[in-house]
Amino acid sequence: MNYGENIANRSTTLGLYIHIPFCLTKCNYCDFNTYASIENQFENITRSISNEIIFWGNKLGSPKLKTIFLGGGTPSYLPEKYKQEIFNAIYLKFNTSECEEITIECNPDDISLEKINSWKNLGINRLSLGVQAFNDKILKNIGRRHNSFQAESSIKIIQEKFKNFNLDLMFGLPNQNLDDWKKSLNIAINSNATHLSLYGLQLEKGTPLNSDVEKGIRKIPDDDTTAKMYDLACKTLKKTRFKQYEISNWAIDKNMCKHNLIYWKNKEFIGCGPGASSYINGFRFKNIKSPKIYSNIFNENPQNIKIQHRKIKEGAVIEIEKQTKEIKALETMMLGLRLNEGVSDTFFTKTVGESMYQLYGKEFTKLKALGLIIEKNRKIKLTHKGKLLANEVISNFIIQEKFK
Amino acid sequence: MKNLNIRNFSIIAHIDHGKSTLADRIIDLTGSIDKREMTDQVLDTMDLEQERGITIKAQAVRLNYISNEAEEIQLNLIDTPGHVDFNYEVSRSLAACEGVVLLVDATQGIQAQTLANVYLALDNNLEIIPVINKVDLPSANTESVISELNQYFGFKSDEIYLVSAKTGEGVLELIEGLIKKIPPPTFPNDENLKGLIFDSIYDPYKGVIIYVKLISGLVKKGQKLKFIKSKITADVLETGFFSPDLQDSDSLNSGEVGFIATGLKNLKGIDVGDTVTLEGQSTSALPGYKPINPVVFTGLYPTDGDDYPALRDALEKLKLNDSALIFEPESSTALGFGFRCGFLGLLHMEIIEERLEREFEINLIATAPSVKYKIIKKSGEELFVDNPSYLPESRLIDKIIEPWVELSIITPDKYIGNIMELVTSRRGKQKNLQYLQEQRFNQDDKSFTARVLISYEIPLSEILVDFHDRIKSASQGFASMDYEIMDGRESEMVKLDILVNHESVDALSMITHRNSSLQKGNLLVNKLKNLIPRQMFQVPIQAAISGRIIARTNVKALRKNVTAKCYGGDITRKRKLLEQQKAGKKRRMKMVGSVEVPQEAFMAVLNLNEPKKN
Ligand code: SF4
Repeated sequence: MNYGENIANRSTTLGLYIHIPFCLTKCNYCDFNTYASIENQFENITRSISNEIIFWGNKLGSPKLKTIFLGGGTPSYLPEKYKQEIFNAIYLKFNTSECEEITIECNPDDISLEKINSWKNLGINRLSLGVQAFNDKILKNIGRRHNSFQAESSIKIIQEKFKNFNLDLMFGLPNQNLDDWKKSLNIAINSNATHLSLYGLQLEKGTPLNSDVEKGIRKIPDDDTTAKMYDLACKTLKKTRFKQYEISNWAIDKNMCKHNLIYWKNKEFIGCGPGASSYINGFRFKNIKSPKIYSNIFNENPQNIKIQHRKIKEGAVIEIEKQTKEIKALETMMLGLRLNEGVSDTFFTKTVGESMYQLYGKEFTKLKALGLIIEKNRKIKLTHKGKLLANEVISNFIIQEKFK
Repeated sequence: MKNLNIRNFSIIAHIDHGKSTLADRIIDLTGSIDKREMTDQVLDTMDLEQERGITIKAQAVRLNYISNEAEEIQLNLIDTPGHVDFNYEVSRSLAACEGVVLLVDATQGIQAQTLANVYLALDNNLEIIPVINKVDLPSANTESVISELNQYFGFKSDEIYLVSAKTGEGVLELIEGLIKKIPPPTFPNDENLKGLIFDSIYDPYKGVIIYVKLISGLVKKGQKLKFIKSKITADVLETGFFSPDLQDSDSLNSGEVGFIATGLKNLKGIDVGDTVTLEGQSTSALPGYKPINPVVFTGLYPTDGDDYPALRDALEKLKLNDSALIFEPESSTALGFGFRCGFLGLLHMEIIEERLEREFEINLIATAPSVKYKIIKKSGEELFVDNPSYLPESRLIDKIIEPWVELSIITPDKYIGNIMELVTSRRGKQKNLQYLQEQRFNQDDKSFTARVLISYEIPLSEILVDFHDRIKSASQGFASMDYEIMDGRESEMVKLDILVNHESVDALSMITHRNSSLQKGNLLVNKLKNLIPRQMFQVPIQAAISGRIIARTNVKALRKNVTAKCYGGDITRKRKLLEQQKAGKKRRMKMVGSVEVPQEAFMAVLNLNEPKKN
């Protein structure tokens, strides 16, 4: 595989994402690459992930990391000794001297003082807690395994040890009404969290929730109600110390998620684990999703990886894409517009090699007239209305010729 | 002169009355086709025909049979379409026959379309052999069907054959009977070749192949053929008969039905109904067929504008053996380039649309079907309009004349009320009501019932859309209908325009009677409201007559379409999703001004129901 020249010995710092594909049970709306009842693969997959980390560390010449993010799945569910193994590999093969943020995603039912202490020892300095709602009925509706009491007590434990932590909340959930949403939101605001991620439920094909909704067994709020929930959140949070910096994210002071900012700002990162994505040297690539095949590939000595699957190119990579100008332009808009600061022409020109006004002048005029974007100091941003219609806005930046 | 050993006949029957099964059984019992080649319904060769259980194109098959009298008889079974839209095909086939088998289902009795075909056979002076099929079914009502045939057509009960095409019961007796009753073809004592062309197909290797019935003379390979009317000449490359595939034979003789391959590469000038003879011989032309006029018109547009040339090619190909199909280019602001197509009726239209989509894989948008209106302007100028877009402004119009049809409906009498209600709501008027049988006591609903034939006069435009289904549901599926174009009458018609986001959409306009325009306008805007997805802004939808808004509603602005998060940096997936959505939209949506309108919206007018009553 060719990722371009000089892949090693780079000066830029990277983000590192580690994908932990385990969950105790699977939530009914979730289509992430994560599985229940494959605990017998803890050991294999951990070893493979560590091997992949070593592989990339070698390949890239032990580059500097700016952030590390343990996502999944449920990283908190993976027993501590395995996490230790993963971090050993990271600290061995990557330069973490300037690493600013190490996040772990966790579930309320996994939190204990003991674990929290162990995470601290691993160097983790930020927690992201999947609360989703402080309402037992609604939590049950979406197949979460914790209840709101567990959520609140886990927050109490976390805030003892971590200054910087995030709560994930969801809106537009089955049977959720504006009042429920308001209550959950207020509990989150009044916790000591420094960061809030508020996600609208998305029905994904193939999930049990989706088929229930299609069959009419479960009802989710209509788009107008969901939009109102979002409006309510934006309005409520305006009166607090939380500041919105992205479509779905709010932070107090400087506590924005630095790892996610790498994605949104089109910076480089490496992803390890089944199905993980990477972006390096103008290439985006993706690992094979199946944990089983993935672990077979990396269970070999990393020096000696066998090609076991016809699609696999190197490591466990099955998909690789060179960023063309059109793709770069679209992705810069798609990612950058999610941020409150928007996309500046300076940044766009630097990334794409051409001014955004030249590429998208006509689209900007139309979207401005519709009140979906605003322009200020050669920067394009979404309006409040535009944020809820982000996909519609972004679709305008797909360069048509490609699909003829 | 007679060719005593030939019998040419057709089977006429209503859809589902078992025509193809009977044909199969006859073919089976005469042993003419190898068992292995028998698929069910041998004669319906198009997929569409087998699926819908109807016959569209006439087909023919030659069967050799040794009769009880030990005579070797050549039976030519010429299959006919059962539907009125394809009457021209029926009349062609009948012109090649001396007799018909009239097949009636013992469980259903005479149906409206059967009548029309029987009249056609009578017009052609053909021997009619009445047969009741499915007599073995428990639900068979054989006695009452006998009484219908008796009362309506005057057949005596001992003339009627009772068969089960499925089991073969009675079919041999029928074959023997038709040999006795149907006269052999007669032909003038004339050496000159005279053949009636009743169909033609195009074969890439053999060129144009004409289907003929020889009235007199003989034709064989190597001779030179002359088409009397078109004056075209051609070589006889091959002659033969249908078995049911083309089977070559040394020659074709007087009285026989078969094919002649001509090698002609162009179907222009090859007219069904023309007469063929040989070069150097002189003979007069046969009367031929009534010219056929399309009565239903619609705009057909490719969903993807790039398919326009493919659509044109496909229509040209279909026209080769469907002379009733007409088309000419037209364009629409909303739909781009397409064709105005004319059809013999609704079924014909549906069949062509389906064949275009299936055999030629072209996705289509069809605009609302229209009839042809005669417009008399105040200036005295007259014109015909079959596309609402071309209707002159109302202030210029003196009169609009629309085609009316005579509609026949056969139904059990207990549904008369429902049917009356439906027909009158569509401006129909009852002309006549005739009992087909004596009323009998019906055990099921403990009342006296009988089947009746009702005739109505009704504008053709009123039965174009969703009428047949309505008749069916008004009669729990028991009624059957048929119609025939009658005359033109002056009507108070108006053009109903649809405005989407204040822009008139030509493809959604329709011509309708003033009295129902308000109701139709309301139905249509509400239907469109549900079909047009929410856009980034509010979209008003209005119905207007001569610029005056008569109905309106709004598609609310879209509130939300945002992806929650880019999980784990999988940006490619999200980008591709958006790209696919956009490409999908481009395929499914047409831009009307700045509004994305899905294809289904253009079809909305096709089932513009008064809300169903239950
Ligand atoms: S815990 Fe998270 S990753 Fe696991 S199934 Fe639930 S939503 Fe999916």
